[in-house]
Amino acid sequence: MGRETRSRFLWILLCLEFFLTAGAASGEETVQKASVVEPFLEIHTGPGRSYPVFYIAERGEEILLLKRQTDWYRVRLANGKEGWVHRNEIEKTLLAQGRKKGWMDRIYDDHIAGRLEMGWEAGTFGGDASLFLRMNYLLTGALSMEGGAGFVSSNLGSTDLFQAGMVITPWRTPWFSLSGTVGGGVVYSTPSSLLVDVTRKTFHEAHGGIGISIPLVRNLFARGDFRNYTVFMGQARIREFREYSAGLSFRF
Amino acid sequence: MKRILFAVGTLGFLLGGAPALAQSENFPRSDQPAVTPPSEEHPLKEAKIDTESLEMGPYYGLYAMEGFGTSGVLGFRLAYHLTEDVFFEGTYGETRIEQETFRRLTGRLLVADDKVTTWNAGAAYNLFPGQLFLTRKKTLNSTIYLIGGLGQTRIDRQAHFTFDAGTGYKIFIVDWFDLRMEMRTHILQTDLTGKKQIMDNIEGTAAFAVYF
Repeated sequence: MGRETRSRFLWILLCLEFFLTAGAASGEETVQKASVVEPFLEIHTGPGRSYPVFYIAERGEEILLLKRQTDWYRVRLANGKEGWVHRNEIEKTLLAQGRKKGWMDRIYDDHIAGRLEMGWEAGTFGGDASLFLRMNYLLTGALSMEGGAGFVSSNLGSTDLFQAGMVITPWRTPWFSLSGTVGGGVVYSTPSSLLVDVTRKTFHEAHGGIGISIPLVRNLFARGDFRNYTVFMGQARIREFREYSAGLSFRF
Repeated sequence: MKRILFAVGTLGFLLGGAPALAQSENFPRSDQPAVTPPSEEHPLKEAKIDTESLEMGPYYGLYAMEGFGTSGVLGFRLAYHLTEDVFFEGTYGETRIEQETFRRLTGRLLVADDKVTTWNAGAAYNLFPGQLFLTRKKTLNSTIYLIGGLGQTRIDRQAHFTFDAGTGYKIFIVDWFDLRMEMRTHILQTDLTGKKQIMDNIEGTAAFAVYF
């Protein structure tokens, strides 16, 4: 392991230590209290249905909700035992307090209210295989900023793209939303080593396109994009490329 | 006869009708509890509960590049847990291409820059969540998962579209810290030796990660 690698590894460790400390400190501040209203409440050893039930809390017992992982809450009982309870069981407690969370509420809580969307899409760019990572930040109800990075792999070499743009989503329904995007970026072209001229070249591009986003489950979306790229190759030469992509994204 | 009918009617009223009439006037209906236990309400705010959906950490291991030896690989991963079964993960790793054998055989270097970077994004499924029994009393949660995705392998600055798939074993020391071992195969097409060929690179790593 070289000096550069060692220092990078130490840097990663320092970052992790920060997150460990921050995570441990924030855990106790957000404790919520509830009472068991069902005849019994099954407490699992881990956040999953396959982890065994090791304790059953009875009606009337108070529970502290310590934290949540996916659909599971870590709870602490009055006798000090700690374990995991499924969200549905916790919702029964909420129901007894006169408020029930339905699936539409979950959609709102988990992703409609989120502003940051991150995802990746695979597809074709000018007929060659491509892969993009994309990130959107919602500015208003319909307008968002977009940043992305991707690459295209072909027989003649590879191409890296870094792009930024604006996305407008005029039509948003609970089932899907349609959007239009315009933007620009930088294109780095690296020819295959089998070619004579292997000089890396840099170009600029402008693009426009349309996209569709479909909520799947919780904050997971399926998305598809069509974009038309105009690449300025220099010396007044212009080439057009079309991108067809589909992938997944998350909204936080 | 009239007396008998009157007696039967009176008895029927007393046994059936009268108690029902009395209940409807003096007692609550049977579908409501007789006594409502006092309950203390705790308004719950889900948004205030700490949520741990992200997992991140470094990994280190060996990366065997088909036909070009094995080198150490150091990387970083970030995962998002959607459900208890499914998570999505992005990784970035760095390794080096071993050129010594090629140099001995041909007298020249294969690539000018021997640094190889990989990144990929994929989905994983927790196939066998369960427990590891360390001792009679000490158990740790664990899971075996399958993972697959798409990404790129950059060799000598040229990016290659890469499919990857693998499996891993994760042990939770505490619920926000895990150790894992993983094996993955990276399949890509290159022209390193002057002709197009499919490379199947095997990566074995050990890692730790925190949830936040």
